[in-house]
Amino acid sequence: MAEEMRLHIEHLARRNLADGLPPDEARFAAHRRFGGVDQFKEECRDRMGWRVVDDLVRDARVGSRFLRRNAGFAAVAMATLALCIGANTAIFSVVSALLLRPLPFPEPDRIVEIFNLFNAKKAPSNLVQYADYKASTSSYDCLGLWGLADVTVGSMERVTAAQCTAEMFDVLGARPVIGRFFTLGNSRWGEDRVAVLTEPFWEARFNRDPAVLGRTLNIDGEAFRIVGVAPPAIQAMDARVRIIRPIAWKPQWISPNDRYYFTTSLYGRLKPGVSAGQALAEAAAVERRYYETLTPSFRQLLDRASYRIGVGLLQTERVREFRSTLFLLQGAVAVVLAIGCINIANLLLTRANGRQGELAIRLALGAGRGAIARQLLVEGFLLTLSGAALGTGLAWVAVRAVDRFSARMAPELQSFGLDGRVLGFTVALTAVVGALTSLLPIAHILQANLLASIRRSSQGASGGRSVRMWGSILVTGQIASALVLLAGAGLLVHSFMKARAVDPGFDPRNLVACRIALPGAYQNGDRAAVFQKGLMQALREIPDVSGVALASSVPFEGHADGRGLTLKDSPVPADAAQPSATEVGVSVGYFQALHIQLLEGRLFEERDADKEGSEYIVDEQFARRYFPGRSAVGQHFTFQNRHLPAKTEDWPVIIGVVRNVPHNGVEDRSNRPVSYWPLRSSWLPWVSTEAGGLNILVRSPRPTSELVSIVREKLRGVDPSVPLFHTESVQTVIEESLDGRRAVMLLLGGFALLALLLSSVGIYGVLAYDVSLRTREIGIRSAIGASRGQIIGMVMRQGLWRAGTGLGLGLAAAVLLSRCMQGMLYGLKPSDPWSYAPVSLLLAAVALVASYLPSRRAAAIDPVRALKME
Amino acid sequence: MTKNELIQGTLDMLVLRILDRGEMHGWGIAERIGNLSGDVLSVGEGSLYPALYRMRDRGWIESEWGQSENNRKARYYRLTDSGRRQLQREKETWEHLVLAVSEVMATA
Repeated sequence: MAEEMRLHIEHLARRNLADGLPPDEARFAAHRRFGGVDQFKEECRDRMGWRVVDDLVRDARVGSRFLRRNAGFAAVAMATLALCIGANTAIFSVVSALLLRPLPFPEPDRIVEIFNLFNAKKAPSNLVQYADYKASTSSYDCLGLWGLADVTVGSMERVTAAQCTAEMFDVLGARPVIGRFFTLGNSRWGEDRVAVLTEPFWEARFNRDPAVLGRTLNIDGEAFRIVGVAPPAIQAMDARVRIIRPIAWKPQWISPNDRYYFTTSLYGRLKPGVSAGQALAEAAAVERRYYETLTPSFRQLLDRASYRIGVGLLQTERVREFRSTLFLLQGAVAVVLAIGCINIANLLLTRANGRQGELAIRLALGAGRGAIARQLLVEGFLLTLSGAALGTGLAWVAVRAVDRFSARMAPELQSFGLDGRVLGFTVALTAVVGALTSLLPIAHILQANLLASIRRSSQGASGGRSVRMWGSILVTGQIASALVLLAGAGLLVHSFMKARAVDPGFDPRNLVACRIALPGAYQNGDRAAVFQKGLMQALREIPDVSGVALASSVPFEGHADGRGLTLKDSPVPADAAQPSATEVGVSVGYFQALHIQLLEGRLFEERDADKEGSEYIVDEQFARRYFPGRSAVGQHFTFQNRHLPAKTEDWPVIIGVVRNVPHNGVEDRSNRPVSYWPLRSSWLPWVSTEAGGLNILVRSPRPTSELVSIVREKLRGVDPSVPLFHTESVQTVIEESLDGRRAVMLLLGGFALLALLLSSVGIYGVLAYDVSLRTREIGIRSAIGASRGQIIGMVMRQGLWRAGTGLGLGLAAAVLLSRCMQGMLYGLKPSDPWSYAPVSLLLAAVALVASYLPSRRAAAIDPVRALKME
Repeated sequence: MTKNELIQGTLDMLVLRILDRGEMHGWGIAERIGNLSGDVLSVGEGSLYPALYRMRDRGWIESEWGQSENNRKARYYRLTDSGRRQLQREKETWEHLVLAVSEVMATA
């Protein structure tokens, strides 16, 4: 089209030339006759409907020029956006992966877990319940058991293995990648030497070779035949699983006596049309029927422990423990985002106010209000988009860090990443933020009488007034929100400090823990005894070693289990809680090696090894709680609650009382006392397969790595087929037990500080704008004699009363909201003043500084210049 | 010489009529209208080209690049069948209009 015009003009010019006009006049006349070519082209293009795209492109170019010229403002806005959107994306990626992403199984909302609750604490299930429910319920298509253990593969490789019944694969709806899964026959004792591999294991060890079927794999010293490979979806059950073996039993093992001893998890697939609630009702009925057959004393035990059966969706159950933390963090970043958006909206608003002159002229030149609105919107979006792009980059880095952290803290979960849903969330968030932060200034600008503002010299004083009011309200809100977050962070920090200060009850320094696993061959009595003797002797020979012991769990690792118990001569009142205790199996020399103080009675000795195992040592808490005012030594109790011994001498006896040790770490809320049982060699193989494993504890001033290699040498000397793993200094174990708490504290603390920073920028911005509006007034005041101090005071008062109101509101809100955090605190009430005071002071100090800076500028205003200013 | 602006509708009709005689390029059409009317009617190029594009969008005319008389590149326009029909319609409308106006002027 342009070509055509050009040719036409040329033709006219030639004609003019022919008519006798001089050349440039000829051309000029032609152009003039043609009219404004560009405007004309525009009109033509108008009619062709390309206008919208054209205009947007032009707006974008103008907008980016504007942003480049106001680089400071743009940088602040983009940084704010990047941090806010980045943080939100990072947290949302975790929320998405844990709470929103459905399990990778067909119809995952029909997979349920059946579990047992004691005092609202969850325990898994067992073989007995599995057999019972299979026989007596009709809510399920299939039921399966699933448990985890660590095993030794080949000669020395330790691997996490799952054990499950054949139906488990049907419950999950998984299909083998190659080969097949277990049959029901594999659950018969002796016919269970088959294994199913998982994809990662098949890939790493066998390079995905399909010929792996039929080959044998050495697991815990026995040969298993590989029959199939499970699909990658199985990692959703636990990301660490590498091999799957069948659960096998002898029929006599399904004995009602073991019904309340919970070791393995039970899952079922609901029949179509059956809800979890209906399945729960049916399960409750089954338990009720069984309950009726129990002795009154045992029934009382169950009642006191508030025993209940539970049925829940697998989807929800597996992330139950993370839910409250995730909600807290997501809420916190949302608050940070809100604070940041307010800042950006304020920024854009004050900018727009400053451009009133420019925009008014554009209006006068013929731009429509729509065109101006569009321009401001495009600018806002450019800003938001660049901020969001930066933020996504930040989020990607953050998610990698979160992933690495969770691999340590919650290794059963699969990794996090920025998947489609998360990116979609980011895009949506960006759009909303961009719209919100741009629309406010646009609405404000278009309302104002721009033409009048050209005439009026100052920057729209009337527009300024409503901006100031909104600015005040919003900044007060920002401060209040920041304080709420700071208060939460303060509570967590204080809790963390209290948790760290807990007395471990033993001396963790110079103490190293390692784990060993005894292969199946040890189950024949004598070998274990020989092994134990040889090992202890070899370890004691190491120079610089002052203590050696074996134990069924390492303090602070959290693997010590507890059970309900019955006291012989102290009936418990009906309304009291069911007595229970955590059980720790220890060898002779344990208390000496750990420097746990003996308070009463005596410790285990070698001579006790020959007795038939009916002695316990208990801790102070046990003695004080169950035998108040008397000595616990010589008293009797038992964990065999179903079949209480008839004769007194058959009851286990307490031989000693030791100092309290929080065996499951600070996070254990069960408030259970501890009982120690003597770890005799016959128990060793069994203990080494439990969750806590069989642990060696060695006290020596040598550095950990050196000690570990020496221990490994000695172990090899006793039996080279026994692997040594999980070696750590006990000090590290204690530190790591606090990792989860520390992480949440740091995250919330980081968000709170970010909120504080953004709010202080908010105060600064509002006050600075205020000062710029009142420049003439301040100039006048200083001209008629106001001192520097008075002016500073005047401006600061503005800031401080807003901050003060925000602080007050924030404290009130924090006290109300902190009640939801009760579960995360340690040793504190939610209204703990020692947590609120420091953060309030911090906020006040920051607000003070943020108010001082603009007030200094105000005091520096030259009255002459201010008065002359138009 | 005073230039009389043409009503937009009439311009369409004039252009179609010119093209009825044969294909023509943009400035040729403008010149021809000027010549044929004895310079009474002069088409502003600012009205001509939008009119040409509009008529092309409606399918009354079509265009293609070609060589002009003095061997210069030019875009030629020609009438389509639907353009021919449109010309007929507009001619009738115009004649009706002229008749009506003459009636009023003669007998009012």
